[in-house]
Amino acid sequence: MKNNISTLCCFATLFISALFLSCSEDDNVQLDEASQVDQNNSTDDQIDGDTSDSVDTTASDIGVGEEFTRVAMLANWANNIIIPAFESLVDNMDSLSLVANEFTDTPNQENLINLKQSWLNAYLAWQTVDMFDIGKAEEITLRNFINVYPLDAQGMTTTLLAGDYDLTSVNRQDEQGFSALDYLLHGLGNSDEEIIAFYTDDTNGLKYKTFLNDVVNRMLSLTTIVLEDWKESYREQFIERDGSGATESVNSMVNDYIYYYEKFLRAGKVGIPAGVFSNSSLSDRVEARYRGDVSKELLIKALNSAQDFFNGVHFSQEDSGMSLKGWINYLEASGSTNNLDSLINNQFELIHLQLKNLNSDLAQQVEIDNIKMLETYDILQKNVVFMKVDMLQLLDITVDYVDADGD
Amino acid sequence: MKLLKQIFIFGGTVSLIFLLSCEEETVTVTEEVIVTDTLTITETDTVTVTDTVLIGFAVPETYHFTRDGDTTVSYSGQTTRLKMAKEMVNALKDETTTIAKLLAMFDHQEGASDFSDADLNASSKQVKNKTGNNGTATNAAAIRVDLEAWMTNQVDSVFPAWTDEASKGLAGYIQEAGGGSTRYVNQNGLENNQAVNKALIGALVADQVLNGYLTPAKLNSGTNEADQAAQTKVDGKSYTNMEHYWDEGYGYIYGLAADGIDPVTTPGSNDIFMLKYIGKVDSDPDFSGTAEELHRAFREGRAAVVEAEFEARDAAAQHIAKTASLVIGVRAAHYLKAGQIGLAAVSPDMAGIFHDLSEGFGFVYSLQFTLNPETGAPYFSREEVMEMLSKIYPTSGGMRGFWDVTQSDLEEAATTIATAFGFTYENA
Repeated sequence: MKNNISTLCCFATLFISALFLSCSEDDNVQLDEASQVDQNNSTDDQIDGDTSDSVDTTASDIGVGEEFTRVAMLANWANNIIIPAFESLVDNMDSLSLVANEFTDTPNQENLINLKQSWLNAYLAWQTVDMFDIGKAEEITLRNFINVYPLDAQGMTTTLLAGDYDLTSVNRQDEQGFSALDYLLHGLGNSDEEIIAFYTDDTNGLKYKTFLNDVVNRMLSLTTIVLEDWKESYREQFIERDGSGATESVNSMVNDYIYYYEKFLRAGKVGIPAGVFSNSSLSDRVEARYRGDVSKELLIKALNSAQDFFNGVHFSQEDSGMSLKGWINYLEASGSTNNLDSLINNQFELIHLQLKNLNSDLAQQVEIDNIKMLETYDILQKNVVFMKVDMLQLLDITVDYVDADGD
Repeated sequence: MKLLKQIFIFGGTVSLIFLLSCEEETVTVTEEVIVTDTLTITETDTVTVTDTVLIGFAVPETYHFTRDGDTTVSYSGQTTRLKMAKEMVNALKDETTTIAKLLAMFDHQEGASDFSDADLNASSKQVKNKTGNNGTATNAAAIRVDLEAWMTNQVDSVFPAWTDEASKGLAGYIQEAGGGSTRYVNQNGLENNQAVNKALIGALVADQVLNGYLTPAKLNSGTNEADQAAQTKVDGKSYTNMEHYWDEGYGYIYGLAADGIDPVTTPGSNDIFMLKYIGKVDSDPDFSGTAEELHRAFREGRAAVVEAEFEARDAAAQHIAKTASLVIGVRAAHYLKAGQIGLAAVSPDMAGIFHDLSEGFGFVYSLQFTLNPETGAPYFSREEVMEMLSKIYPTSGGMRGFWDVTQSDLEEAATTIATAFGFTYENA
């Protein structure tokens, strides 16, 4: 029986090409490897989009073919980027804590304005470390206590007024951090006077003061813990784990970096407010929504930090050291040259160019002309493809995370 | 050599499909492409399809069947039951719902105001009497007791703790990390609403389809075979009895689809039961094509019924049993694995883990309603399912369910499931 079928089938197979010609309506026989195809397309697009003048604006001291070692890259990351960035953040958090104390001691307009500025400084400093969700930061889930947004303002108010709260609980993660401070400094009222009134109120003023200081001090203590851990022990561990395995430092850090870029920079700051993942746009999901006019500034800071990390640029300096860019150069010098590092840097430049078109308040941008936000998302997305697909393939690094299922 | 033969068999099949269908349907080119990279699993399926095609009747591209210009497809009763079940599951997430209300929704009586939808209230249909009723009477009773026990636990333990923080041994709410969704769990970390929801995918949907409507015993009952051969319609209807039975099976899966005629290319259903997870499995690259494969088998079987080609009909029903069962198996293993991966994190997100495991719990429960066409039995018996649940949700000896489950228990259960269905833990 089986024999018969195969004979019959073999016979029928002879007809297959003829049938193909007569039946199929078109000739778009496509392999089911969309990502592969996409990637090639986007690479072509990129080459067509002439941005060659912005190549190599950074990290020019990494010569093509310069000897690459993982340990050199890890040392550069830890010593010249990550630890200085955390030091700067903790300095900013220290100032914020002092200024917050001044404000709660004397709640007046001058102190409120100072506090708002300190908050913004610290928030900008946060953008330079957000991608380093590794070591102690990962262990204590730093990001989840420092910068969850949108804020659950109602829940936070209930918590604050109840008084007996536990900010270490996962249930409180969307009631603290920068977004809680944003609300406490900008969102309580329409004017400074209205906002200050919450802190001078006879009934609840003390609760607002206490909560404000508690939130700030917790942020200071958590970021300090991470910085100290880097300086005391994790720096050595991080640099020593210089193998090519999935759990070694390079693979972990590169995955964390791309995950951050994809989920928190691309989706969190742009895609979600623009409605890429929902049926309609959600302007109230922008970062720092209560302050309003700094969401683009925060995005630019995050983007610069991401690009600098790629290029190995030392924190807050012009110099640079061994980096992903240098590694790509090194590999390409010994094999096929696709100029992937230029593609990625060009794409970063295109993003910067696009950001010039956006309102400083991304919520307003969403409401007035969301098309520009969607375009921004698309331009950001191209670097996900370059880095997550092309770069990881070249560097032989496996993606260690999956996209959430969504229910 | 064997490989070569498989390629030939597959190639032959594709060409035969072309032969029969090139006038009325566009054969997807991707089928052709598959020849180059999938070879193993398709062999038996392919032979089945070949047999079907050799008999020589056309299979439409959509679930559209007519007689004398009138549609012969009807499954409004199934849509009604799915809507009732959905309202009941949603009521489990409203802490003001009473147990009396939930039990009345489950055991709806015609005219009772159990639902927000007046049409459902007026209906004589009911969820409970179609839940797990294709096995033994003892099992049917036990299954209903299980479902009612989860509902009771929800009302008695979880609702009163709605504003309390959950902890080991205490019911309450627990939020996913990073300001994520808030989950409401019982004292052992189980979301009862998920248990009920996912258990109904097996107990209501799979059981009715695989062990009920699509069985030869049901399809051939009474004078159905002779009626079908003579195209004798049900009085006052455009369809025959056998056609209607097949459609009722279809309706349990596709009854809430946005477009029941073409539910594969028009996703976006309101379904929260089987159809939703067919979509999820289909979007996993390891199982892509599952949605079309299942729907095609429904169309083939329905076309075979019209032609009174009962062997072809039963072959299609077996293909459906295998594929629909696989959907349950894949999701069961998937959620257990998700829980294992969650527990492996440096700082586990317990609410996220509980949510995955609660879904997994319901899917594992549903395994007892699957049907392995090669054995005629479920892939896992009720006894095996209950044993597995006691491992992934341990509550004896002071154990606190998902608070205490270990990664190795989850991996072991997921691997057992994957192996039974012929995939791997990696694929899940």
